[in-house]
Amino acid sequence: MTRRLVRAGLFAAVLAGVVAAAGCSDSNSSSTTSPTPTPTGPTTATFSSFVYPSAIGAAWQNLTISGTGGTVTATLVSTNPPGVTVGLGIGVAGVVSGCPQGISISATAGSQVAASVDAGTYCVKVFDPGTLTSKVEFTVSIVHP
Amino acid sequence: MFRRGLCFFLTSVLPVAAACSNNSSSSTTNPTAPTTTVYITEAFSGTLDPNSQQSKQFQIAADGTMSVTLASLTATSNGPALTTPVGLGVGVPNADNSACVLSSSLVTAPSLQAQISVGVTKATATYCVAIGDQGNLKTTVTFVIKVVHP
Repeated sequence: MTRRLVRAGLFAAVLAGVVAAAGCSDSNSSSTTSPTPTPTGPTTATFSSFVYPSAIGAAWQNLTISGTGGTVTATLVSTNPPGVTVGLGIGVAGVVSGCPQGISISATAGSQVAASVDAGTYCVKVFDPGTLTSKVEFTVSIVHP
Repeated sequence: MFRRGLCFFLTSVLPVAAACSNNSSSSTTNPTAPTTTVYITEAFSGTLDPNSQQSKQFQIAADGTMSVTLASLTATSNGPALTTPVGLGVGVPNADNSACVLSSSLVTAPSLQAQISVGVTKATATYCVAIGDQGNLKTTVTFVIKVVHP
């Protein structure tokens, strides 16, 4: 009888200890759970539109850069008619009307312009460099953070 | 003997439970709410004639860091970007608000990354940005200055 009581007490002690330890173990495991990583790869967008020959002939597309910024790259993929030279630039948007450019190039299909930017709202612009004689359709590929 | 067993139970289990209890109390401690500074983006645009300068004033709402960027310089509002270097600076207005007394400045072409970063205080309240020709402009240009401030 006495042995049985001792065993009962010992068993209860071990069982309770295991249960308590399991509770602590659960706390520890939850605190070491790794968060799901957020994808941070660059984003690619396609911008297709047209531009007319004019001193104000232009088309642009806005994009928002978050975090710490990065590099925005715009590539003139094609024009129709082919072989036409247009202006291609990257500018600031959101806090000013239009798309005033910080950098621009004269571009034919395959030309690329890139700029390092801080977080904010920017724009990629295609415009008449003063040489267009008719409507030009274009496609631009934009890669940004 | 049963009492001895019970005693063992109490002495072996309670410390473990107490340890868990400590974990619980630490996990329910309320964190201190972080102070977040709200930043505002403003754009100042205008035209700049050769051998001239322009300045714009704005208000600071909190202590923090202000960044200034000459975001665009073009010959016309729709024209290609110019790479002509011009003077860009930040500071505070003088006593009669007739000029911007610069505390930081540089000569630069447009960029889409901050070109000047300075600490600002709410106590000063009013700051200014300025742009000026350094003798490089041949015609009037259109500019956009982007300012991010608290």
